[in-house]
Amino acid sequence: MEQRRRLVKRAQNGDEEAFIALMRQYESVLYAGASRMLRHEADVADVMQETVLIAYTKLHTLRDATFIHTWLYKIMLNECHRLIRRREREGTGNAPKQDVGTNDTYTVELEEAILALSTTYREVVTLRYVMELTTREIADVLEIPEGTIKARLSRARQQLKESYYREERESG
Amino acid sequence: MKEELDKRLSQLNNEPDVSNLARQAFDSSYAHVRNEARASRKKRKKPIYMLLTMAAALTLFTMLSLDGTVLATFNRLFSFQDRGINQVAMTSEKNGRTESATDQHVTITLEQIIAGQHKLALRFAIAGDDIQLGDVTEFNLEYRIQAKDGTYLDEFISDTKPLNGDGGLIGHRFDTYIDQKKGVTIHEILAESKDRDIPSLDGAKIHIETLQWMQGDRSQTVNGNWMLPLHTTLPNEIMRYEVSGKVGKIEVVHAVTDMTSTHVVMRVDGERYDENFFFDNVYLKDGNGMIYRIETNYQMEVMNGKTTLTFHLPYTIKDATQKIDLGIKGIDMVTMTDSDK
Repeated sequence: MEQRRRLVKRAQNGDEEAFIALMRQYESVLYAGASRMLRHEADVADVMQETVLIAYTKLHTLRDATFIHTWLYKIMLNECHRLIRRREREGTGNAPKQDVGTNDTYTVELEEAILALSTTYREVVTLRYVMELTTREIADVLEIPEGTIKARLSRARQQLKESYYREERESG
Repeated sequence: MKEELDKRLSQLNNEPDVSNLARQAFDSSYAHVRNEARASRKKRKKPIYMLLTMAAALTLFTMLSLDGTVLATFNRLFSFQDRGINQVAMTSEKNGRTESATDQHVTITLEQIIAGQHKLALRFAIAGDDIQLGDVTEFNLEYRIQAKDGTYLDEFISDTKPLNGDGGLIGHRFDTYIDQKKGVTIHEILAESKDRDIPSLDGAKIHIETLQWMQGDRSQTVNGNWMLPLHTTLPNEIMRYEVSGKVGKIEVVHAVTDMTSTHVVMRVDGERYDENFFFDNVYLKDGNGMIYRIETNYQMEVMNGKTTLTFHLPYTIKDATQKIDLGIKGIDMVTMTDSDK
């Protein structure tokens, strides 16, 4: 963590290589998060690019380097919402998810179940289980009360369970 | 099924491999960031502090305290806090002739030059009767340095002008301060060699093309042609080191110490290093046990499973011992000796 704080400070002082080193540490988790939020791989790539560029131009606004991870996740989520809104306008929001090389049937089913959730529930599931934030941190990222986060997580899990039972009944 | 769901949810944090498309997006963003940073450095308008730096203040104090005879042989320190450059300034007599050129009613004097194989430091004094120096916040000086054979050793010009060479040196740093009483702008430049040494400046010239003083939203720009020869009389002694004893995980391609620094090119196995890792872990230990670390940026290239690093360390010919250790903490260390011995 100390190393990350130092990288943030160096990046804020104009060291672009420190910024790039910092971003490399978050590539996988940002990618994982955006992949759960979006159906199109091209959209995920778009979000990755925009997240890096926005982070670079706005880094000076980050006051506490300790929160670099939630700050980046927030940028990533905002960009995801932007693309989700665009897809909804285009009417392509429910297109099947493109194959990203997963052969595990259960994983594909869970991915589909998560993508079938409303955006509100999908983002809390992504932040909690993919990006491993606490409910307190999720509340900070989404700027809503922690109690609301807990309620959304509970309902999201309920919907996912129902999807699983349905899948089991249909496959049985 | 509930347990199965919980298990599956808990596995969602297994980070997937980044797809080729996302990889391209990241790399393209990083290239953009690097370009932006480079362009920004070129355009950067450095604030001019009316207060002198500690080093300059110390020098000024010394100048005021000494009589003219001593002053004539005394060098000012540069304000960059660069160990090698200031070591040369402190331990050498005033170097070369003072050169001046006048154009557009502005006189530029090259007050000091320190040029080794690895670093170049220049100090200019700029005076012009028509230049208003009140409330100056930023200053730019655009120049090109040309070797005796006509090749361009360094160019620092605005983006709107074409480069005549490959850009030349890297890591440019500038510092400016205004002597209001004398009506003089003092401008210092420090630059480093990239992948090849700075050649001899014998017969080299600096062409200054543009001067610009910024005062808030207003600016005074003077375009002209000031040409100054770059005389340097400092002895450019160097020491080359070669690996002695066992060769391990570190391959040293080049390690040369001159009066300003030690330039090192080394290779290490592996490609997936955090850039910050080397900044924190590369070290040179001299024969007296003194440790030197990278203080400015370094370059890193990855190819065929190996990472090549190019950097400068603040270990100079005045520090030089016959035997040194060069290492990367957590990877390996090699012992090196003066190759001429």
